[in-house]
Amino acid sequence: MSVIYGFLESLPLSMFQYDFMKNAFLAAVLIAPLFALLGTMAVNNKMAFFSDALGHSAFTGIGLGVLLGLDNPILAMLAFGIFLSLVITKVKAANMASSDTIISVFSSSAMALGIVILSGSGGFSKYSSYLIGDILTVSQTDLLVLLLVLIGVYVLWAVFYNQLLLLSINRSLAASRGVRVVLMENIFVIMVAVAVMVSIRAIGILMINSLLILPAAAARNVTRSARGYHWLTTVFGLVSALAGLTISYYGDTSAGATMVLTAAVLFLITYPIGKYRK
Amino acid sequence: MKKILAFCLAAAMVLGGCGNGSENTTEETAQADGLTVVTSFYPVYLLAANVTDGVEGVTLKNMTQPQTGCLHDYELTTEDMKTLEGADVLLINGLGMESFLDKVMGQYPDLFIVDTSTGSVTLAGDDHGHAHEGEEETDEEEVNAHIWLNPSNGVKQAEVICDALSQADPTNADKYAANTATFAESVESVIAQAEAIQAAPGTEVAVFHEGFPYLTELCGLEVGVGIYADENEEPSAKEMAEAAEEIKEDGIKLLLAADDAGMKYAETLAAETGATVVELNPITSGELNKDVYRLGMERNLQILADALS
Repeated sequence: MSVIYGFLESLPLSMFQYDFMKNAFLAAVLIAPLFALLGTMAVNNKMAFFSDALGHSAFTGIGLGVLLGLDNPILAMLAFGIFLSLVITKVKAANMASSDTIISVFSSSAMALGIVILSGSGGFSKYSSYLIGDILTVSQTDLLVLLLVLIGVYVLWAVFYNQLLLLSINRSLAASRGVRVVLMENIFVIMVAVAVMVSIRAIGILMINSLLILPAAAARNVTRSARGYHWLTTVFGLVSALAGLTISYYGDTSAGATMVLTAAVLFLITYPIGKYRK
Repeated sequence: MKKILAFCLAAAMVLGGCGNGSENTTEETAQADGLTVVTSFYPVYLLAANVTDGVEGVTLKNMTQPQTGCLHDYELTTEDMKTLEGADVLLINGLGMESFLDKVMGQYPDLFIVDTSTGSVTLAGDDHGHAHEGEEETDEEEVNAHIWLNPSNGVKQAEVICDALSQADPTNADKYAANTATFAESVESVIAQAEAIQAAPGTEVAVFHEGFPYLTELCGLEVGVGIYADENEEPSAKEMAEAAEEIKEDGIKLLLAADDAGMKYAETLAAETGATVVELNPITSGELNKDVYRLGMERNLQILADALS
């Protein structure tokens, strides 16, 4: 850790004289590629709304954590996030209603349940920091958790990449090629759930989905190959996270929101380029 | 059609009947059970509990949940409205703490609302080293509403409560006065305890709860840095950096935080600067026991005295 700290201090940026800025920077460096990778598939599979629902369900996770008397609600958030993502996938597969309707049903129900639990135990104003996130108080333990999740997701990605890609192109095609479709879908949504839940304290419920979707959407504007898409998304994710954090430091703005705005600017720049090329 | 009409009639009678019935019962309870006093939140409840201790016929209720803490952005629940429905007197902290009050006043025009802040010595709100210096001139008029954290104010508030209750319930006026005198006496020791602490002149601390400037003022401490995340004012990276600089430059050793949103910022800045986090109790949540106010204040001052020595 001290090696990384030393390296950051040697950079000619005054913000790195503070440990909390170094931690925030490292959190951004870990979260950006994690979200970029998952974001590519979420955008391909038209699941932007799904991850948004997961973010909102964090409220219920926090509420359950409070009910169970946990000091840190992260375990309850993870459990509930995974549970909800599996349920949504299951209900979606039954094809009873369109998927945006189903996701909306679960999203608003989870949010409402969370608010009921939290306001029942004395008002949720003290949990409002989860809404806009707080990357400035990320601890070294948080960083370690993020690193482990990042490694886990990349390993799973490497193992299942072809099957996931096939699945995102066409479900029936994937099934005919021997891909265990339901299992793959479940693995993917669990990865998204875990990534969202471990990052939500840093980025915030309201912002987290934009960070997942915007870099991928921007990269999709201008890339043609799957490989280029993944790389450019990762680069866009890193650029927006780091530029956003730096701007927020010198410009005195909210960190998470500035990161998202930077990603939105990338989308605005790439959109006409993509349009022109077509 | 007839059936529907009959049903509507029946429903109207039942509903109407209910309405009349409940009105009667509230009046009856008001007469039979004496006085129902409702407090807006925890600290006011503790003070009122001292004033009404052992007085027969007084029902004291705290409107918000005891875990609610300060009432920033508080939204009234249906349970709160039910509590207010049966209230004769509503005791509030005042100074803007109960921002939802306008709605209540509209709904219960006859409710006797008592602002307990009358006569208390107040500090200006949010004027200590907060990073928006020069930016928010208009906010300078704001008053720090956490007055109960100064024990002299606590006594003042109890006296206001005593006057109001004596007015609403003259038969028990003597008892209220006696209770208030007992309470004032018991808090004397707290005031003495605070006076005994007097830190070296110019000693600065950082505070992470907007109520704590009342405590630091008692002990002769100056607030060098104030970050009030409990007021939903999450600091930006720049503010945190400025706070870290000031803590280092001014040689601030103590970071006073409550167990709430501010704690994370205090811990982050402690790791940054090597200063020590001291946890104090803003007495905004806990058990509904009248002695908690005095005990909580004594404990806060003891912790401060230990930290300063």
